[in-house]
Amino acid sequence: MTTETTVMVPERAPMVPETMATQGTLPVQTTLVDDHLDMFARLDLLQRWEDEYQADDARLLARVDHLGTSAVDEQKGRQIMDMRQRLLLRLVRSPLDIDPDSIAQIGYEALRRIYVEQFARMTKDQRLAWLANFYFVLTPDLRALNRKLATILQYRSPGQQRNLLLGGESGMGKSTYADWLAAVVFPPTVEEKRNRIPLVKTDAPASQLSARMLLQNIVQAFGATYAERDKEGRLLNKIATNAQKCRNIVQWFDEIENVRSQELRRRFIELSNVLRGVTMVCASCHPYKFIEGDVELQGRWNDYFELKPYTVDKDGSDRLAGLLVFMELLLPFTSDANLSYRQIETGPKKKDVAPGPATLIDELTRGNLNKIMILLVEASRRAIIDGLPCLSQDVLRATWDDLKSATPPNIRALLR
Amino acid sequence: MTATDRPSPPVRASNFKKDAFMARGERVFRIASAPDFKAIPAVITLVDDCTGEETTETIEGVIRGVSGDLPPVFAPTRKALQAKMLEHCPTPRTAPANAQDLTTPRENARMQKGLIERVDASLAFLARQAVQDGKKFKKGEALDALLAAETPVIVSSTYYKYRQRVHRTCGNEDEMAGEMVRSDRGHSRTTDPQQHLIDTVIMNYYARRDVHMNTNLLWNTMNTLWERTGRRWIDPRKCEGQAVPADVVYEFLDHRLPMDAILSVPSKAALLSPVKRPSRGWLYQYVPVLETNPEVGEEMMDRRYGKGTWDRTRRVFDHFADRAELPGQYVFADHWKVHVYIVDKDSRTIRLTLWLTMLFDACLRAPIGYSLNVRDPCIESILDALRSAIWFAVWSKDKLKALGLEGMIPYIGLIQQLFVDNALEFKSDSLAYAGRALACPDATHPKGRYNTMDIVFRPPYNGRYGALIENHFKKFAALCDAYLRGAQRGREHTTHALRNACLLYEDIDDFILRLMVDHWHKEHPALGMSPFDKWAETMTWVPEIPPYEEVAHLFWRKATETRQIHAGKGVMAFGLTYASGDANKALRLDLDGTPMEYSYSYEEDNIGCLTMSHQGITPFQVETTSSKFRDATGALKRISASEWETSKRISRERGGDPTDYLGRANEMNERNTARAKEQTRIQSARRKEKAGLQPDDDIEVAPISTPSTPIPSRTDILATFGRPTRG
Repeated sequence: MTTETTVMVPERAPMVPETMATQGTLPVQTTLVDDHLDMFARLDLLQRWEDEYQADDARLLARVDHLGTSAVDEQKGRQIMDMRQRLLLRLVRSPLDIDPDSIAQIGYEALRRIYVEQFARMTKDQRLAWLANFYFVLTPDLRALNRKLATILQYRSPGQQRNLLLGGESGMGKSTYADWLAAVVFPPTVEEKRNRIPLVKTDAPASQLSARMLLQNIVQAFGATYAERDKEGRLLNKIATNAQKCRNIVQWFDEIENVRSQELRRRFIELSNVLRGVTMVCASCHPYKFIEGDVELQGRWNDYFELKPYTVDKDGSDRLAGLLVFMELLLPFTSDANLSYRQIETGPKKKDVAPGPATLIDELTRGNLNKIMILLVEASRRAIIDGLPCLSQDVLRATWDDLKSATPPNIRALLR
Repeated sequence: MTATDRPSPPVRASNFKKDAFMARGERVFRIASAPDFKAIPAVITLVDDCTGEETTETIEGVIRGVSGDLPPVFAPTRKALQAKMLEHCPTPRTAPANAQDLTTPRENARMQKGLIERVDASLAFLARQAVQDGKKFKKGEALDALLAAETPVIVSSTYYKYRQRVHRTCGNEDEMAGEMVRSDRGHSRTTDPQQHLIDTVIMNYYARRDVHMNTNLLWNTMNTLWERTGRRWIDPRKCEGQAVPADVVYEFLDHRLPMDAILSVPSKAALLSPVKRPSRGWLYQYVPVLETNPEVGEEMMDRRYGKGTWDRTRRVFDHFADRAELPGQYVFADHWKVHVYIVDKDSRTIRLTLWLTMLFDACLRAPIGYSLNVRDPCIESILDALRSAIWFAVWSKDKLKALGLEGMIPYIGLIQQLFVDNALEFKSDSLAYAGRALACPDATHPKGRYNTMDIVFRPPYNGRYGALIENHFKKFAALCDAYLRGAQRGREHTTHALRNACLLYEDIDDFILRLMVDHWHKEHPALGMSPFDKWAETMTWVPEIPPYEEVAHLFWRKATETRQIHAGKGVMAFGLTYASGDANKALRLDLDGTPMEYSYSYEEDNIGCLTMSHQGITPFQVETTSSKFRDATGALKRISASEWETSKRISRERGGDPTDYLGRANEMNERNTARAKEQTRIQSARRKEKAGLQPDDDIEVAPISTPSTPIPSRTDILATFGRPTRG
């Protein structure tokens, strides 16, 4: 069942962009995990998205084949590369989402029984195809981030510039979330007279020599081109013009830790001044380093959000267990693996216990979301191919051993 | 062996007499004239006995014959020739006692082919003879007569069946054997899907740790599953060489999943085949096979359904100890080195450690017998412990009474299965023999009046099979550390433990007995009650055990060699002569006149008495006639084998009377005792001297003039100390 979730935001928004003004929320489309979830319809949907992706990707590749060797063509080549990267996220345009009220009403066990019946009807190939759902999972953290972003976007007003710092360890899903926003939530559209690009994502350059590369990257992200002779002033003008033309509302800077020099940091204040009404999000592992020692930057980037690892919190809450329960509910197996169990009983006595799957996963991944997803998806794939009734600790460990010896894991590459 | 296989009889010149008869192939000839052997080539004139046709052949041609023919047979008369032919074509061997020997397909084929060749040749011969005699040949009668002479007798229909088979296969024995083999030869009675169904149910439902399912319930479960799947089950042959998909199996087992949902996937439905319900009786026989031998179960499951199948599912039969319902059903035996240094009773200076051999009951979770020895684990250790377990109340009566513990440990009767590890001492004839002979078979009860005891060997490197008793030893070790002086609490504390050693053998023995009693009357967490209460709950009858005197000899060491009974002398062993009234009455010669070999058992600590036994003859005892083994009252003295051997050796070394072994042994034992006491006194005196005290006045140190040799002490501990045991 496909619905549109409503992220509640305050209604006083003096200067909201067009999209937000009409809907008042982030246009996030999700599929609710409840007793009405038709998995075979969902599989059809996944297949359709897959076909569309293949067609789009082929089209982009065809365009690359016709590019020449001029500087402009090279810039277009890079734009196409970025585009193709984001297209991957369109494989799951409507991620699975949980409605806590619905779950509370039905109960996990009953819901699981409903799903197990459907899984039992699936062939091996269908089960493998089902794993594509885990390409992008809307975790509670990402839902909270959605709300935060919507709030910041609503609060934009003259003189009240609010930008966001997004932190979190590598592999916690910052870049994936940005790509998902750019590709699915705020997709660029081509109109007769202009292109609409509500969210522009740019990687901060590693070079600290000049701000030109940063500005060139932003211009490119709008789908425009630049000349090598263009100076910083001209590039700034181009950015300001394109931002308005493209109805840009969010500028997303990834790997902001790369910006270390004071001169370059000041350029961001300049950009912020030029791009009035555009929210700037700076993401990195340690984004506070970006504003460290600069009062003005601290004043502009005054919102902070962190994607924490999935492990046991300081307050004792087990974040990993929650994620694993969610995953187990949706993994296409007919038997229960009790993934969220930290300990399992091995005998009748109290002391007869052994570490459970959750302990193993925690130990292997250290709560890293990317690693957790890779491990679970790849182990599931292996278990389905081998005809196992559920995931076991042996399979998890064997999969991890294989992954360690393979190339650096990447959930996207793995799923493709 | 067929006629063609039989070596041909040598042909001699004397065979070629005039008017003699010769049979070659299917034809019979009369020799018309004797050959002239000086002529080159020598020729002979033969007259066909049937047609009267005359032919001349060379001698060499006659001897060689035509390729494929039977070798020529000569006889002076026609009747003698017929008899000789029957002799030359041998009758089949008599049926062996073991029917399996005859039922080997290849052997059967050979027998059938030989019979057909033989009978056909005889029929042809008789037909020709009848023509010659001008009589009408009645084939049916002749055939019946010939078949009646066969052993075993066969009927004509069988003959024709054999003949048809020989003709159909052109006499090829391999083809004949192939025809006689059933298509399902070497296969189980159950089909593959049936087998998988049973194994699935056993592995998933039977003998799980949390529930206790009996075989009847198991069969019902299997029946329900069989009905649920529409009287079909997964056929492993349809899995294309892959392992049976476990996910599909689990889906079938999940009763909440509708079958139509599972079978809506064509690949799953294609795995199913119709199966006949396995019989209840077969299941009842199959389960105990796996249950009593877990390693076989694992190997079987892994071989059938892929490596790791057993591990993937629960290790079902590892927990079979939990399934013990009766005392004595499963008993574990093992040895443990008591890490407590003791001292010898006489000198109190020699430090020793002891070996505890214990039997532990799985149902009661309690030790039921033990043996404490200075020697390393050996056959006697386990036999002693076994004896102690079965007759504990009798065997330890005095000891229990002395400690005020009488009646605190009950006896559980005979043991059904004794689980032992793979140590050499367990793999002894004595133990195996004792297990069998405890049933006490006799003429009226050939299978025995009591149950036999099965010895089950634990697989090597599988510590979990002995977990119960190992755990108990660990508990004992902790208590020894806590209570006993001289306990070795680690390698680094050896010196400390050696210095502190002061306890005697008896102290450790009493301590272990008290621990046993405590254990019997303390609540066990796994049982939820004390082992004694459990015993009272389960033992609703008085167990029957054979009188100890009747089976005492079973717990003696069985000698590897045998002995004969000599008329007027008796039995010779250990350099001694043994005799008794029973020995005089016992059979000395076998039916064929050869002397009968008796095996004998003896007590390691007392070789004055032996038990003689022979297959089918009731065991009897013999006593030594040597006066050296008897005291003044004529009663037998207890002298161990090692003592006896040592005394003989000492006698030889000292050049004394080589036959007066006992005297020397006694003498040396006295000396040992005296010397040990001296040592104690000297050590005590020196300690006092160091402390500035006055030494005792009565110290007397006798000089030893005789050459010193390593002399063992006479005490039981030291007597058995150097006894060779396991390698």
